[in-house]
Amino acid sequence: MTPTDTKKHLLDRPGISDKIYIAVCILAILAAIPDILSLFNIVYETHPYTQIEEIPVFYGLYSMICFLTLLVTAKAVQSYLKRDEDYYD
Amino acid sequence: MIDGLNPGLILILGALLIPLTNGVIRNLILLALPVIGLAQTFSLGLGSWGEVEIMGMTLVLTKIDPLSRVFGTIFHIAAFAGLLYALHVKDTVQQVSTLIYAGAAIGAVFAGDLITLFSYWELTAISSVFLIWASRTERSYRSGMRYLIIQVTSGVILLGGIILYYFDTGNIAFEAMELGSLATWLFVIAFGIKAAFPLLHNWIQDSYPEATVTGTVILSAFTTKLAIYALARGFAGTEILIAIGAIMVIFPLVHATLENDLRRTIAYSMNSQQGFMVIAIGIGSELALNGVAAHAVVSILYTCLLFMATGAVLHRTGTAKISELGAIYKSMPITSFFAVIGALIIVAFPLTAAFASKALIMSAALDAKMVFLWLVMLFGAIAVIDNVGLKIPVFGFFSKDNGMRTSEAPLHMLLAMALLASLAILIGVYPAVLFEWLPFEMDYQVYTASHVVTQLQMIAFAALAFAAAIRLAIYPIMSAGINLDFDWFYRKLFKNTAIKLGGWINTVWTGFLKRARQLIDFIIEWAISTHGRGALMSATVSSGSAVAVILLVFGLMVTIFYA
Repeated sequence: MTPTDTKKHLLDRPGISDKIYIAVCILAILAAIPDILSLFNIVYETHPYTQIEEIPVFYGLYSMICFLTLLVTAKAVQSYLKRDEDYYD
Repeated sequence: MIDGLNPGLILILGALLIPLTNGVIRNLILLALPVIGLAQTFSLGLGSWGEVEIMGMTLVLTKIDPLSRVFGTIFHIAAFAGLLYALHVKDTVQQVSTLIYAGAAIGAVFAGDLITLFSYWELTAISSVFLIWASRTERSYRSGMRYLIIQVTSGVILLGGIILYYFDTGNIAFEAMELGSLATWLFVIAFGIKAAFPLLHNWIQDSYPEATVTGTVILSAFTTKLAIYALARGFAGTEILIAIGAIMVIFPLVHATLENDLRRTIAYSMNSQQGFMVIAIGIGSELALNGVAAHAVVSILYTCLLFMATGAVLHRTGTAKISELGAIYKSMPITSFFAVIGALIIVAFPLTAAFASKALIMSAALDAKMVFLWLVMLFGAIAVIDNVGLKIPVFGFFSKDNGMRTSEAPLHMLLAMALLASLAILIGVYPAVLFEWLPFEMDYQVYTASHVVTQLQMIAFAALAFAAAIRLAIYPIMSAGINLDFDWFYRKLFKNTAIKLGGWINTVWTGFLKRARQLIDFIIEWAISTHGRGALMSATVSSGSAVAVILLVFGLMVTIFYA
């Protein structure tokens, strides 16, 4: 195994999925901070076009809601839609 | 440059040189033609050329205005990138059809009248089907047939519309129209088929994954965007397009999420992205139309890039199915890198082109106080983070190692991907590069703190939801197989109904023939029994008896009439 191979196998290391998960969590929190700070008028000023955007972390929450809706819908209809590869042949 | 020559014709006529050449010369011609076409476009500038009077109608063979120039330019770039990507293909049929197809699409956007538009419109259909048939499988043959029927139908409907429109208005110039008459409805349907309106959309997901590796890249760039151009030119501000576009954004998302085939996933997602453009055409404001042109450009860049990356995997491994792919990144790191770049662009990550182009359309909706519509589009933008932005790289390129090993994509493929990726990032970093070519002047700030933060927030939370769904094992499992879509109606229900109906008609007809034959047989038998040899009616009698009968008849008549 060459050194580059070892490096490339980074994603194969045990526990890497936990680390990625934690990293994603931290990123989400970081992305939400400006909105929360803006509640106290610190650092950041929002430019809402609509009332709905005034909800703190609106984009993040809406993103999660949309994602879950999509996932639930997709899972719900999957069994009805799924067919074999050669269904039309 | 020849004054007024439609740049599309350079590619179409240039295609005729291809069979006469080979090797390096052929490759040089292939790559040079889009460059010459683009040079012709810019040397012409804005204006119209080649007015021809035929039967009282004025054809305008070449017309370049700011809207058509944006589409024409990106078509040239896509043709160049697609041909560069396909440089290893030694199939003359594919090379010729690619050039004619790209040339026809360019010719169509630079057509000044409806007849010229129709000619190129049909040419795109006929030339492009060879890219599907070039797979040379039974499945691709059938898929190509369905594609051809649908595409040519669009052309025939367009022609019907043109004839009616000419009778209504006495005019065949291709300009903004009011939706109302049958003619204009036919136009919208013809354009709608190629733009993949809901329920008219399945030809995309049916045919693109059946085309060759390089064919799909080429196919994805032209037909659907040509239709967007035609709608934007003819029907900007037509309200019904807003509703159609909104359904279009949502409709393909579930399938994009469930799909196992990477190329079909992108085809579904592309369909949803078309919806953004259709909505913007429906809104019809200057900002919205700039959004249409900008997003069409950007959408071509990232769709081609993603089809290139997934196509390279298919080229090397022979499959583009999530259930069969493993840790592709280990063997194809550069291709995987470009797939990630493509994913970042499609999720509208800051500093990529879609961040700028999608913002125009979203802002146009808010300017028009369409908050619900804006939420629908936001839903579409979030869904694409899942079903392309994360799904394609995570499951297609960085999946669990299943021992699959291959080699990196050929250099020319990587160069083609690099070209599109750099353009998309260039536009993302300096949106003005694209904005100054858009049809309308505008003063739009892409990079505000709130825009960047909100976009990052959306992406980060979608990624979090995605990671959590996988962790909790609630993410739908993609296994071998297909998911039914609307084409089930014509590929299964209508087909089976037609076969059954045909069976019934056959039974009734055979039964009818049988009965008729029995009747004729009966008549013949009966005739034989009465008039046959020795039967009553054919029996001969003596002349004396005959005369006696005649005399009797005469006698009766005389008695009746003269009594």
